[in-house]
Amino acid sequence: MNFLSSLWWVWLVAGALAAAIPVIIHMIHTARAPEVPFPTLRFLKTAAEKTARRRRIENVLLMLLRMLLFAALAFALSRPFLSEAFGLFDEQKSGAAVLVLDNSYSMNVRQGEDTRFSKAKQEARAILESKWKPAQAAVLLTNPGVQPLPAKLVADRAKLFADIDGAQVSSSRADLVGTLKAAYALLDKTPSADKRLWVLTDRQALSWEGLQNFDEPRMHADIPVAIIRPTEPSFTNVALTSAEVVSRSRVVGMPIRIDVSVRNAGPAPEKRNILLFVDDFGQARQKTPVDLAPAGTPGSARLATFTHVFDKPGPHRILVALEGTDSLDVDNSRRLALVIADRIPVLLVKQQQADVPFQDADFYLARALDPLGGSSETPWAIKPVETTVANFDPAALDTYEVVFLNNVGGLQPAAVKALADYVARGRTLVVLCGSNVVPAEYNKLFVEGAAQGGLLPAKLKEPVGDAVLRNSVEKVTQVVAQSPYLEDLVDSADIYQGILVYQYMRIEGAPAEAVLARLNCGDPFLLYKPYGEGHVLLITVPATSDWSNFPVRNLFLPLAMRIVHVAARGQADRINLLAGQPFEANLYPNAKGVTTVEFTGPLGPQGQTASEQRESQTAGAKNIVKFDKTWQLGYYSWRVPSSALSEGLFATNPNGDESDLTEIADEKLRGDIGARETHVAASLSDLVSRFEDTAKRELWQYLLMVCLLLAVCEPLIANWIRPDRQRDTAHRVDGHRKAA
Amino acid sequence: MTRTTATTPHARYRYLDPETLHRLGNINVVARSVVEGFISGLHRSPHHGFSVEFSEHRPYTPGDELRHLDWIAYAKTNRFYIKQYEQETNLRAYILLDCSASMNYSSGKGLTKLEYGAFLAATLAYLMSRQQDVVGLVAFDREIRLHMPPGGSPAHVNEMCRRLEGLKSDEVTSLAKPFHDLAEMIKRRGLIIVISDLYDNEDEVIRALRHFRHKKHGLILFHIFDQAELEFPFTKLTQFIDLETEEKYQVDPKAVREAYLSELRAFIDRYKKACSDSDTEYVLTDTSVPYGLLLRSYLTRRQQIR
Repeated sequence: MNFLSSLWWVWLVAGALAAAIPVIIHMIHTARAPEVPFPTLRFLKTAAEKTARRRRIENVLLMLLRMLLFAALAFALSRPFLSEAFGLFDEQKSGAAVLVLDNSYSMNVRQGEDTRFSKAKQEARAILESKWKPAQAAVLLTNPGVQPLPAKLVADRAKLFADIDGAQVSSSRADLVGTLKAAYALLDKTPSADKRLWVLTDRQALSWEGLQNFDEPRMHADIPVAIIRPTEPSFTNVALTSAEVVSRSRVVGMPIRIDVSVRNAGPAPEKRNILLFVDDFGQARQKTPVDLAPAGTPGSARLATFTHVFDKPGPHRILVALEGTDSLDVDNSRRLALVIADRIPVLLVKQQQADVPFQDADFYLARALDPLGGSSETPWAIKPVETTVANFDPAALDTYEVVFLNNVGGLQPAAVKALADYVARGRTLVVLCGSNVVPAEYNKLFVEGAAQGGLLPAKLKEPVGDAVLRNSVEKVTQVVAQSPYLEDLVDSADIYQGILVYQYMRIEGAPAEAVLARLNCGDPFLLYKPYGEGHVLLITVPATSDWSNFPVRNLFLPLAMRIVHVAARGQADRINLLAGQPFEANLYPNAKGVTTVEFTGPLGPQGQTASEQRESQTAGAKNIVKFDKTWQLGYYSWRVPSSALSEGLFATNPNGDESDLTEIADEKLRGDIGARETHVAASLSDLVSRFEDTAKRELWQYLLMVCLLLAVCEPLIANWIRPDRQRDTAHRVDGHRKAA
Repeated sequence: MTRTTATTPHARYRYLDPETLHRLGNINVVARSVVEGFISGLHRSPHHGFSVEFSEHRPYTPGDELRHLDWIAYAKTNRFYIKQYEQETNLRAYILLDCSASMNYSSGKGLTKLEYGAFLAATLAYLMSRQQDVVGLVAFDREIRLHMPPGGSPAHVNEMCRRLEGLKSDEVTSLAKPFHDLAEMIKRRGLIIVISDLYDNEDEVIRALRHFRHKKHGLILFHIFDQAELEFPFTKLTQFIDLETEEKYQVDPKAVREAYLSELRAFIDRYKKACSDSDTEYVLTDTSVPYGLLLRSYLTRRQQIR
C-alpha cells in the first residue's frame, strides 16, 4: 500500500492520536463524573452487578467503534492507495528491462517534423531516464538488419543511449512476436527478480501477426508488459506494394509488360500518378493515373500496367514511382532489375543432320521456335541452335536456356551427367522419344545413373504402335490445364484432341502428378519433373511427323515456345528481392573454384554506395556465392573481378505488406497478449499519469464509507442498549397525575 | 362537654397549607377496620350496648351515618342535623413518619420526601382532629425520635406541626425495631398510618407491619418516593452518594437503568403483596404528586368502599 498524500505520515500519527480520543474522553468523563446524592445505593449496586458483564462488553465495543472511526477518518485523509495492478511502477528502479524497438518501415510514417520511429526512440530514452529506469537493460530491434544490436543486458546507460540513437528504420516488416520471444529469452537469463518488458511500436496490426499463438506472456506472468504506441493525426499513404515483369519474353525489341500493384492505406480517397523510369531516373518514360478509394473500401487497390520495349540487351534498372509525397515515402517506389536478352538461346540436339531439310528431325521444332528463321530485321525472342549428338558439347550447355533432345540415342554417360548438372543449376531439358531412343539405355543413363531418383520423370518401356502401318491411333484426351506449360493453351479441347499418335514410347511407373497430358488409352503423353533447380519434360513421341502428327498440330508451336519462355522467366525471378532476402548466384561453369565476388550497392552506413566482397562455395557442379546484406533498398551489382564473364544485377524492395497501416485496437492488443499486467499507452507520460490518476486504487472513499457506517452504528448500538426512560418507570402513578 | 370542631386552618404552621386544607373541605379520615372506642358516627366500634347520651346537633356532612340523622330537627328546620353524642368518635390514630436520611431526598426544587411526608402527616392530623379523632405522631429512623401520644385538640395539632417542623433526617433507616416497639406500646386498637420510603430489609419490615395487624390495628402505608427514584432519569456518568451511609458509587445510569427499575419494581411489588396479604392499605406516591390531591383522591375512594 502507498499514499497519495505527501503528508501521509502526519495523518497516520493524527489517526493514532485520534483513536486515543475516545479513551481520553472516557477518562476525563470518568474523572469528572458529577456527584449526586441518592436515597439509597441498594438498587443501583444490585443493578450494576447484574449488568456488569454486559456493560463491559458494550463499553469496549463502543470504545472500539469510536477509536476505529477516528482512526479510519485520519487514515482516509492520508489517501492510501493500492497499486498492485501496476507492478510496472512498483519500485523506483526495476532490476532488468528489455526495450523492443520496432524499426519496420511503417515506423517511417511522418508525424510533423518527426517520424514514428524518432518518437519511439524518444520514448525509449525517456524510459531509461525515468525514475523507473532499470539497473540493466537491452534494446532489441525487430529488424536488426544491417546493424544488429547485441542481445545482452547491460548496465552501461551510455551504450544503451548510443544503441537507441544509432538505430535506423529498416525496409522490411516487423516481427514483433518473434522479437518478444527473444526478449523473454533474454530476461530469463538474468537472475534479477524484477523484470520489465517495454515495446515501442506503432499502431499497425500487421506487426502483431502470430499474437494469438504467443504464449510467452502467460508463461512469464510476473513480467509486466508496457506497449508504447503514440497516437497520431490522420495520415495519407498510397503505396506501391509490388511490381513485376510479367512478360515471359525478355528480349530486345519485344514489348515487356510490367504490372504494378498500388494501394491506398489512408482514410481519404487519393488521385495519384505512377511514373515509369528505365535506366535514366531523371526522366519518366511513362505516366499513368490512378484513382483510389479510402483504405478498406472497394477500389482502394488497383493494378497499373506499363509496357516498354528495350532496344539493348543486358541488365536494366526499372523504377516505378508515385508522383508526389505522403506520410510514408519508402513505399512510394519499387525497383526492378531486368536482364534483357538479345534472344533466348535454345539448343536442339538431333541424332544426325538430314540431307533434305524437311526430313531433318529438328525441321518442325526449329521452325516452331523461330518461324522467322533467324532474321535479324524482325525481333524474335528465341534463338534455336541445332546440333547433332556427335557434335554435342556438354561444356557449352550453360549458354542455353533450354536443351531439346529430339529422338537422340547413343549419348555418352558424361554427356548425360553434364545434362543432369545443367538442369540442376536451374535450366530446362526436354526429351522427345523416338526410334533412336533405346529404353534400356535411357533408363540406365537418365534414370539409374542420375541423382534424385533419375533425370526423367519415369522409366521408359518399349514403344507401342506402328508408325508405318498406323493400324492403331491414340489421341491426347487429358491435359493438366493449370500447368504453366499448358496454361491458356488448352482452353479448347480440339487444340489437343486433334493430335493423332500412331506410335509412342510407353512409360513405366509414372507418378500421377508428373503427367501433364495423357492419351485416350491412359498412357502418358507429356510428363514433367523438377530436377534440382531446373525442369525436365518428357514427350513420348519425337518432334517429327512419323510417330504422330503432333508437330503439325496447333499445340506444338505454342507449347515449344512456352517451354522456352517458362525456362527463361525462372532466371529473372531471382534478381528481384525483398529487403533482407539473401541473394545467391551460381558462378559455375564460368567460375569453377572458390571465387571472390565483389558486390556494389547501398552498403554504406547511411545507405551510400559501397562495395564488399564475398567468397563463393563450391559443391559439385555448383559454385554458389551468397550475399545477405540486402537490407538497404536499391540496386546491387556483382562481378567477379578476375573474370569478365561473371556479373549481374539485382534489386531490393520493401515488403509491400508493411504498407498496410491498419490499426489494432488497444483493447484487442491487451487481450491478445494476455499477460497478467499489460499496459498500452500513447507515451510513458500517459502511462505514468494513468498510474497516478486511476491505476492506483484509492481507498479513501472506502474508508469514508466505513467511517459513515461506524458513525451510524455507534448511536444505534449506544441507544439499543439504553432503554427508553419515557416508557419505563418503576411505577406509574397515573391516577394522581391524571387528577392533577 | 362541648366539642369544638377544628375548622380554622393553622396558617402559621408550615405543614398546614390553608389552600390545601380548604380544598380538602370536610373530607373525613375513616377507619376501614373495626377500631376500639366509643360508638362513633364515623368509625365502627366493637362495643355495643353502651348508652351514649345525646350531646348536640351538628350540621350534616356527606358521609355521615343516616341513622344518626335527626329527622325531627329536619322537620322543624328543613335542614339536616346529626345527633352528636358524648363521645361520637373514638378513633385513635398514630402517624408514623420515617425521618431517616433517605427521606431527606429531593431530585429537584420540590419537596423532600420528609417534607412531603410531614405535609401528609400534618394534614391527616388536622383532618382527624377536626372529626374529633385523636392522632399521635411518631417520628423514627433507627430509633423512635419523637413520640406524641394521640390527642385531638387544636393545640395538640399545633404542637404536632411545630414538632414536625423541627424534625431532622440524618440517620440510617431501621424500620423494624421502631415498628415492633410501637406495636407493643400501643395498647388500644387504632389506625396506624406509616409514611416512609421503607428502605430497609423487606422481610423485617413486613414482619413488623404484621405485628401491627396482629395487634388488630388498622394499617395504612404511604410508600413515598421521589420521582427520580421511580423514573431514574439520569443519563450521564454519575457518582451517586448514599444519603444514609454517604457511600459513593459511580455508575453509568444508562447502562443500569433497566436493571435498577426492575429491582425497584420488585421491591415495591413485594410490599404491595405483603400489604395485600395482611389487609393493609398501600398507597404508592411520589413527591411530584400534590399531597392534597393524593389525600383527596385516596380518602374519597376510601370512604366509598367503607
